[in-house]
Amino acid sequence: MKGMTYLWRMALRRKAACLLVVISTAVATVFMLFYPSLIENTRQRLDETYDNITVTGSIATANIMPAPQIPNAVWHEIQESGLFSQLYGSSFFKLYAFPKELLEEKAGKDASEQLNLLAFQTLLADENQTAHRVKGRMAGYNSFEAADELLRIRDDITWLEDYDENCLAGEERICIIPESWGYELGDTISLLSIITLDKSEVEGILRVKVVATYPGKITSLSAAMPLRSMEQLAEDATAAHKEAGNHYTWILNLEDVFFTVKDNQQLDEVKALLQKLRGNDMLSVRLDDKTLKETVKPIESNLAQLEGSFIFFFVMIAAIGFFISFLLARGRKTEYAVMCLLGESRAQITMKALTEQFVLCLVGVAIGALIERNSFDGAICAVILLCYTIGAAAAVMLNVGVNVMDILRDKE
Amino acid sequence: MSILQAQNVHYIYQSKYQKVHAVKGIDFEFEEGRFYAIVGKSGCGKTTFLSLLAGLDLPTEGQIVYNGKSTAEHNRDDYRLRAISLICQSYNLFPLLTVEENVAYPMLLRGVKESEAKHIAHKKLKDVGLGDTYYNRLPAMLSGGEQQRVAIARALASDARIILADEPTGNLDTENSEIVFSLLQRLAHEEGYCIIVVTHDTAIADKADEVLRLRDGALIG
Ligand SMILES: Nc1ncnc2c1ncn2[C@@H]1O[C@H](COP(=O)(O)OP(=O)(O)OP(=O)(O)O)[C@@H](O)[C@H]1O
Ligand SMILES: [Mg+2]
Repeated sequence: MKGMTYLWRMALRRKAACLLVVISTAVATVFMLFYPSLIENTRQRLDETYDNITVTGSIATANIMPAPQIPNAVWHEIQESGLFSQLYGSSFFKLYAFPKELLEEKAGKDASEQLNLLAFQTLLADENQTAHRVKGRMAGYNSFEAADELLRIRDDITWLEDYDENCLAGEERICIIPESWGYELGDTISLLSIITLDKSEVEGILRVKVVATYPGKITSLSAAMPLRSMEQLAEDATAAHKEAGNHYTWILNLEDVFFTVKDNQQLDEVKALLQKLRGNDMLSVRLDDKTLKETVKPIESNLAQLEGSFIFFFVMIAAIGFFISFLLARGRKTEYAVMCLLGESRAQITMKALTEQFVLCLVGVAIGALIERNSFDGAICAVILLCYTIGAAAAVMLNVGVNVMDILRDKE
Repeated sequence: MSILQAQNVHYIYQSKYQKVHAVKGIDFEFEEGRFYAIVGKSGCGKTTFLSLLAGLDLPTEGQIVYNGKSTAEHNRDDYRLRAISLICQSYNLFPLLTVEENVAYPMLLRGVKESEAKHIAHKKLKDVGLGDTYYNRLPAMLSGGEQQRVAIARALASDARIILADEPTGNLDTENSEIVFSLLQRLAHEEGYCIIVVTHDTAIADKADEVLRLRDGALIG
C-alpha cells in the first residue's frame, strides 16, 4: 500500500491512542482467555463432585409378602442396563430341614429324592420330631456383600477347602448352613423346599453341597446359596414339573435389589429406568440422590452464572472494542479528509486504516496471549481481533463515508 | 488553449427535505498560465462549483472536461491525485506528519521513492519561501500562512497543472494573504499553472487575470 509507511509514522506519533488499542485488546484477550478457565475449573469441580459422591438405591417389595415379588425380568434388565457399578440381589424360599442322623435314619444314606420326600413327610407329621425340625429360609445372594447378616458373621464362618466368600457369585449348587443342623463340610444335604406359586405352595426336595458352616443362630437367615444357582434351580424345577405333566412355572422373583449408580452423570437415565421398572405399585423404589443434589446444586448454579455472564462479558468487550475503534477513527476524520483530498479512494483509505488497526490489535492480542499463555485459545484470540477490527472497519467507513463535498465546507 | 472546461454545469443538492439548485448552467474555459478568481455573495455556489471542478462529485447536468475527457469518464480519485491539487481553508495538512512529510506524501501515493520525494519536497518548500528549519516541524507549530504555503508546496510537488483553492486566505491576516496570493500569482505567470481561487477578498480578486462573478448559482460576468 503506497504511503503506508507515513501512516505508521502518524500512528506512532499518536502514542496514547495506539497504547489504548494495544492495552485494551491485551486486557480483553487476557480476560477472555482467563474466563473460560474459570468456567472449566468449575466444570471440573462439578465433575469431581459427581464422581466422588456415591448414589445408592434399592428396589423392594412394597408390602411384606410371603414370597419375593420383584419380577426376575426387572432384575435382569437392571443387570443389563450397565448403569450400575454394584448390584446386590437377594431372593429366598421357605424350607424345612432335619438333622443329618434323623433324616438318614428315616430315608437311608444317599437316599433317592422320592425316599427323602417321604421321610420329610413322615417326620413333619410326627409330633415328637417337632423339636428337631428346622423351619427356615434359604436365601439366595449374588454376592457375599449382599447380606448384612453374612457380613456380621464373616469371621466365624468355616469354609470347605477351595471355597470362600466369592462362591456366592458363582452358580454352583452349594450352601452355607448353621453348624447346628449337624452336617459336615462337603456333605450334600437334602432340604424340603416350599415354593409359593400363584398362592399355592409346592414342595420339593433340594439337594445342595455344604461348603460353609457358621456357629449360632440368625433369625432372618437359615441358609444361603448363590442367587444364580437358585435361579437355575427354578428353571430346572419348572422343566421337571413340565415333564411330570404339571404346569407350574417357577420364575425366581427377587426380594431386594440394592444398587450403586455407576456414573452420576447418568442419573437421569437411571431415574427413567427405575420409573419404567416400578411398573405397578407393588414395588417401592428408592434412590438416595439427595446428598448429590444438594452438593451439586450450588456448583451448577455457579456454573450457569459463569456461563451466562460469559456471553455478557463477551458482548461488552466486543462493544468496548467497537467504541474504542470508533472513537479513534472518528478522531482521525481530518486525516481521512486530507487523504481523500489528495486523491485516495474511500476503499484505499479504509484498507489503510484497517491494516493499521489490525496490526495494533494483533500486537495487543499477542501480548494478552503471552500473559495468559497457559490457557491460550486461538479461536478466542481470533474473535477478539475480529471484533476490534470490525469495530474499526465500521467506524472508518462511517467517517470516510461522509459526503466528500462536505470536505471543503467543513471549516472546523 | 483551455485545460479545463465547465460546460453548462448544473448542480442540485437533493436532500430529504428540499432540493437546492446550487449551480445553474455555468459555461467557462480555464487556461494554463492564468489566475482566476471566483467571487460572489455567501451561498451563491462558489464552493459547490469548485468541488465539481475538483471532481469531488459529478455535475447533475452538464460536464467538466479535463484534457478533452469529462470527469464522469475519469476515475475521479485518480483525477484528484494526478490532474488537480486542491487547497482549502482548513483540513489541509496531516497534523501528525512533519512539513516535509506532508509535502512528500502525495508523491509517495504516485509511487515516488521516499528519498526522492523528500528531495523534491525541499525544493518546493524553498519555492514557497520555507527554509530547512521548517522541514521537521509539525503543522501545529506553524502560523496559518505558513501552513497554507506548505499546502501550496504540496500542490506544486504534484504533476497537476491545475491548482484549486477555496478561500485559501480565509484564516489569514492581510500580510500573509498578500504573501500567499502573490505566490499563487507568480506560479500562474511564471510556471504556467492554471490557478482557480475562490475568495471573498475583493482586493485580491482585483489582482486576478480573470474574475468569475457568481450570483445565485449563475455566472454573471
Ligand atoms: N449539502 C447540502 N444540501 C443542501 N443544500 C446545500 C448543501 N450544501 C450547500 N447547500 C446550499 O447550496 C448553496 C451553495 O452553497 P456553497 O457552499 O457552494 O456556497 P458558497 O458560495 O461557497 O458560500 P460561502 O461563500 O459562504 O462559502 C447554498 O445555498 C447552500 O445553502
Ligand atoms: Mg464556500
